[in-house]
Amino acid sequence: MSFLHPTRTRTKVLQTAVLASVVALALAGCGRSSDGASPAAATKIDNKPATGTVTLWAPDGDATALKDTLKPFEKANPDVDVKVTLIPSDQYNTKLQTAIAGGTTPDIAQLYTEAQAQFIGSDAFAPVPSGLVDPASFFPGAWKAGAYKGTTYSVPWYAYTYALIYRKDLAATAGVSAPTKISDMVPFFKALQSAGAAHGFGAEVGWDSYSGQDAVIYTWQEGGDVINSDDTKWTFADNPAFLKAVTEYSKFFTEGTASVDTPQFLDAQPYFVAGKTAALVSGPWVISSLDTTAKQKGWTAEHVATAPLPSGSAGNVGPVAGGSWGVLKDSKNSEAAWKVIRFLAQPDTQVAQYKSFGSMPAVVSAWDDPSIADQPLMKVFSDQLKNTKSYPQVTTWSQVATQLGKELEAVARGTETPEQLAKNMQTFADGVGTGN
Amino acid sequence: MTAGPLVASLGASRSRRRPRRLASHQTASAWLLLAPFVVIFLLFTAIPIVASLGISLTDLQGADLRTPFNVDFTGLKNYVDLFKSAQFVGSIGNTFYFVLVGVPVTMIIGFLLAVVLNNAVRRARPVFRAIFYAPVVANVVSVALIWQYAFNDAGTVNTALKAIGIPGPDWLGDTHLAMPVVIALGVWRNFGTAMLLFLAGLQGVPQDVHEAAAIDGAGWWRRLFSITVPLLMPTILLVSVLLSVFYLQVFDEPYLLTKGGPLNSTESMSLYTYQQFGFGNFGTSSAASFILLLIVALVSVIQFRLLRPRA
Amino acid sequence: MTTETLPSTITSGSAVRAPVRVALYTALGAAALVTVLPFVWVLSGSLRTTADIQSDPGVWLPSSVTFDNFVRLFSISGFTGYLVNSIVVAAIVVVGNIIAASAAGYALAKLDFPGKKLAFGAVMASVMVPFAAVFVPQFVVIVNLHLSDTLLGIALPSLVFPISIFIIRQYASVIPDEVIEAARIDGAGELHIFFRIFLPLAGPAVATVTIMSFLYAWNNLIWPLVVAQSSSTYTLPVGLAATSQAAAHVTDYGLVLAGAVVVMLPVLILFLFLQRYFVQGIAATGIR
Repeated sequence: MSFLHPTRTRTKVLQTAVLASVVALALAGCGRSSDGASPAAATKIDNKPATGTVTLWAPDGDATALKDTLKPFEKANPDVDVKVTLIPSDQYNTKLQTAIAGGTTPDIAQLYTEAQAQFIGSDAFAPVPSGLVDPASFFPGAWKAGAYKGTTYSVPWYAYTYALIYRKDLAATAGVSAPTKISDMVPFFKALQSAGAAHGFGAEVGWDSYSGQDAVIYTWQEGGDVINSDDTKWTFADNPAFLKAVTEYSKFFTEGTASVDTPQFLDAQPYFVAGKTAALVSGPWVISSLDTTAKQKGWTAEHVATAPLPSGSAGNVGPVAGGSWGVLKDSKNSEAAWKVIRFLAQPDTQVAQYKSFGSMPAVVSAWDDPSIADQPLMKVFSDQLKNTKSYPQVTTWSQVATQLGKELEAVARGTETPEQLAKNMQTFADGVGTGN
Repeated sequence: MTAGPLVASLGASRSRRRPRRLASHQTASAWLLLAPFVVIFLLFTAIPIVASLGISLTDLQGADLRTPFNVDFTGLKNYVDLFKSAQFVGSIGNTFYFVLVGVPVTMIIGFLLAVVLNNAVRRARPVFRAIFYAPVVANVVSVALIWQYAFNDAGTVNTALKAIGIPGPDWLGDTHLAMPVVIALGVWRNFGTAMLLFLAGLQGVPQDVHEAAAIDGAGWWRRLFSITVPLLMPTILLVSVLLSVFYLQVFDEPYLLTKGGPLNSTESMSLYTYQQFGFGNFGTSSAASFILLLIVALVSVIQFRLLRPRA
Repeated sequence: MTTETLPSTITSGSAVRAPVRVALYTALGAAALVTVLPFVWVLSGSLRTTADIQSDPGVWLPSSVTFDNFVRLFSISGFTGYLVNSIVVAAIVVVGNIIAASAAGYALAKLDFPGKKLAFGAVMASVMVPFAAVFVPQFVVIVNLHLSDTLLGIALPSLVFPISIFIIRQYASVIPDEVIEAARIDGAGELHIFFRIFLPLAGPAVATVTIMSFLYAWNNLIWPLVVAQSSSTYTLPVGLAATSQAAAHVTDYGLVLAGAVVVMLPVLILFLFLQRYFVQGIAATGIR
């Protein structure tokens, strides 16, 4: 703990004048130079033991168990000291943003696989050294999500996608089986309601970027996307696939099969166990923690079934999300930092992390471990992970997704039509741009 | 009685003139005593404001952080764009809604409690005072949990309503009801402070005036409105100024309860600024915060003008 | 001197008729109950297991009491450290405000000097600055002072609250000038007068400043989070916020509520002990 740095305070006070000069220079009109800086060629990381101190930041959540996961690494590399700092997850992006602004970044930072463009596109991260890991060992979608403008900046750690998770007991009572098409979802949910659930579908209604992401998934199923292929233009307006997606998505609410207000993310499982909802479109962690939520071992096996995402006219591609690791450009010990990341990408480590926190491996072969392979409810997720797509990999995606979430709320509440939403989103997204 | 020196000094700093010779030797001492404040003010208020103003005139974004000079000077574009944004304009409206309802309600509750405590309660006064002040010291994490749970669709409030046969609405999910709940949280967290300020003010209301009025047969309410309220005017004005400045910057309440929803109906200006920062839109964020700063300053000046006690 | 000896207003207790008194006490009691219930819920929740809270949150009294949440809280690596950090930060902020704000408030009230209006204007302006507008530039300043990831860096911007200066200034202005003039005639220097004559007289105002600055430093979440770069400099609210997820994607309510109790207790205790002076401090500052 450093309480008081003995520093040359007086000269440092002067340095803060640098701030004021931001203003002066901006006023002097030093404009943007054309963007041409390409990332430096990455050096190769050797196999010698890592040394020195490595600082690592991650949002609380999957990294809560990281200290235990890293123990074998510290044992094999006695001269390295990995300092893990957990950051409150809802403050994580702001915190990382501030650290980059202040130039006080750690060596390693976790990135959310599905929303990392904002950071890897900011020139604050170093490219992944070639040969560090085998790109083919990961689920392809998870690996590709770490690329920005042709350079890979992050290595996947855990990965998840969505599947339909439902109460098989209620489905049996109602005499229905899992829907395979999106158009069959509402009838299925209604049947679950007739079997006693308050709502057939527990859509996670934070009306935030996650809701926005959901609408994009349904757009994919109709064969479309919300951005053009070279990520230069948003395509919300005059996009039949998007319009269809929003219409189908809003039906869950307007048809009374999902509540506009509940559950929020962290309530999703308690609601599901209590029978307030009877189906979720969610990730694999639900399977591993429902027993705990229900306070009953074996509850999940007895009550729950999983099914692949229902498909639209163009198929049923899943989203890829999770956590990835990046090394900051300003790292003073990037050698050791990359070695930590290499260790975290090994199948054994990934299985250990799964056992301690339920994080689903991003490395394909780790799913063969009996601890995962023997769980029938999990198979649907590993299958789906082989068929995924990334959300738009542009720096403004979080912002656009957040706005989309808000607009979807208006449609779900019936205060706006899908057509109006498409128009509003196009205007908003054009204003924000793609950063390209 | 002191005619509200704080309010007076807010309006115009009257400084009593002293002989020159004293003043000159006091100057060095005065600035020495003020030095810590001046240093902190320059470092953490003046410089950041100048920097923030500068950033608000550029298109600085998260992606530019490593090359902050490599941005375009965009003049007032951020400001113009903000006023074209329905979300930002809405946040101004929400902020004023919060202030215009929250300030009077907080003051009335604080005032009534103070009068009752001061008037009718003696031995138990410290106990009640501490109880009513407890929400002020409550930690934000627990406050968020309590309120989210209480106003959940099946939470404490609706359970209580159900018990008396009223079906409770979905408080935080309704665009018309969410703001009142957010305001209620603001009131709950702040009426204790208002109460203490009023209690302090009431200590200074001379008793003989009341006794005389009581002998003249004036009733309790009558005395409250014709004697206590007028004598307490400076405190009332002070509390309203402090609360207004404070409530205009409202952030915690909507952030903890609703994150600005549903449909942006509880999004305040501070919250908007913070969210824009999270997206890396530093130019927009700085411009929005500057508009907020101007509004706070304007409201304060107007209040000082209106409320400055007549000499 | 206690508050109770200060002049009471409108009427003394005896003049209120008995039925009115009963009605008033009933109303007060009801208001107090509504205010206190949430705290009962927090305390009760901190003594229940997380699963228990989740399955039925609407319980006021736990059926079975467990101290497991508190045990787990203190077994979290670094939690004791967070507590110590919080105490250190609060101590720096409180001492800073007592000395620096008192000095500034005293100078603004009792000394005459060129630039006084400007200085007071700066105090006024600081009240109006929204946190969201300045926290990033503030952080850049902290970094340039090489104080990021230090407790001093967390405390520094809070060292002199403008509202503290206000309170002291108002308190000072009701102290008769004669007291100070007398000391000057005796040849005492201005700093000597401040430390030896003014500060000892300013007890109630200092108590007010102590509580208000402690409260702010103790409960602040976002700024300490921005300045801390490692968990070794986390304060209690930051540490708690970073450990609220026990299982995958489910909030550990028991732990959070136990944490809330630990965070709130010291402040409530501080207020209980100082509230007399706190009220006096405000009363005596001439806010009336």
